[in-house]
Amino acid sequence: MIALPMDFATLFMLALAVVMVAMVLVRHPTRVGDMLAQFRDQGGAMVFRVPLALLAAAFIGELVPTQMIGAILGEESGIRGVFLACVLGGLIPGGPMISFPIAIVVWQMGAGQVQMVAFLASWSIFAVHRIISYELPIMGPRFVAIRLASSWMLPPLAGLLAFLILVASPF
Amino acid sequence: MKHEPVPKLDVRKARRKAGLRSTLLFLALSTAAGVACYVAKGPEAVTARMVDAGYQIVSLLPHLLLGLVIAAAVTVLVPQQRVARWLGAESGMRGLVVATCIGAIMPGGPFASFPLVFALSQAGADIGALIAFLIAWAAIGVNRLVIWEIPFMGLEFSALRFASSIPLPIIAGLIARALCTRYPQLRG
Repeated sequence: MIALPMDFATLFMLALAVVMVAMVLVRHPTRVGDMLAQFRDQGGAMVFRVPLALLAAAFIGELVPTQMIGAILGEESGIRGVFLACVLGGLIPGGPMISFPIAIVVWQMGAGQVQMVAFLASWSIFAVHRIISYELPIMGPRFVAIRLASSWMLPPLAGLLAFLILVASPF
Repeated sequence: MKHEPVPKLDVRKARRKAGLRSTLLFLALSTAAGVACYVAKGPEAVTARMVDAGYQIVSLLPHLLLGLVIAAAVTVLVPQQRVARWLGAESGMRGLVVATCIGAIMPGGPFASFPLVFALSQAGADIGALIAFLIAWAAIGVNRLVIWEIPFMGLEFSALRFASSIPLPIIAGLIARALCTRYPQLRG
């Protein structure tokens, strides 16, 4: 299962990282410390949470019946699966730390790509936890109302666009 | 910008506190899921899943590290004050596009974004631009793409998800503007 990940994604990210760090070194040599602090802050937050989240996701994967979710959100679930994915995605609490391990589980259980797109779009746009802890207290209910009124239809739309892209593309 | 941003030290402190809380939440969640797994499927299933998770952590590590390096470099290369100026000064369709692009490259979590959105709204930024910014940050954020999505979901799916979400911020911004034109009382 541990393969040396020398695939395209790794090489792409490696190249991007090298170029960007070089840009910082050349154009903002005095701010290398800021970059390292940012790396440490964000990385430090992940040191314990990512392994714990992955562990939790692995256990949840053992507990939730695979075939059931696969049937609910599989390729063949069609437009109903997309709407269901939107509802389920909106209900997931927490940031990327928890949603991506759960998304992996759902995906491994046989969810279709179009349904996964809607699922992740719904999670990122509705984000109940973020509305309660940031958006409401900082921006106020009027802003939240306008924001939700103008974005509630976006996750199914993302699913539709993903479907069109898949239909149009050769792979 | 008229309003001073939240002092950095306070943000850090609050962030650390929230971080500890969320680490404990993950600890509680994984413990509860582990106990449930033990009760339902027995000790072998628990061990097998722990080994699975261990392999997954090891194979994710290179991508996570690279993602963190990229995100840290972006923070330095794209200063937040400049982000605020571009977004605050513009409006119209161009403002929406600019807001979308800035939201997409805006690094950092809600701790960084919401104070900025608030400052911009106080500085007179248009609600369509603010909403386009937020939706772009949430749905097509490059930071999350490189740190989370590509390592977890793979490049091919991530590209499909990203491409399907590109128009969303502009659409949301246009709808928000239309709503506020139609119902002026929403502006407040």
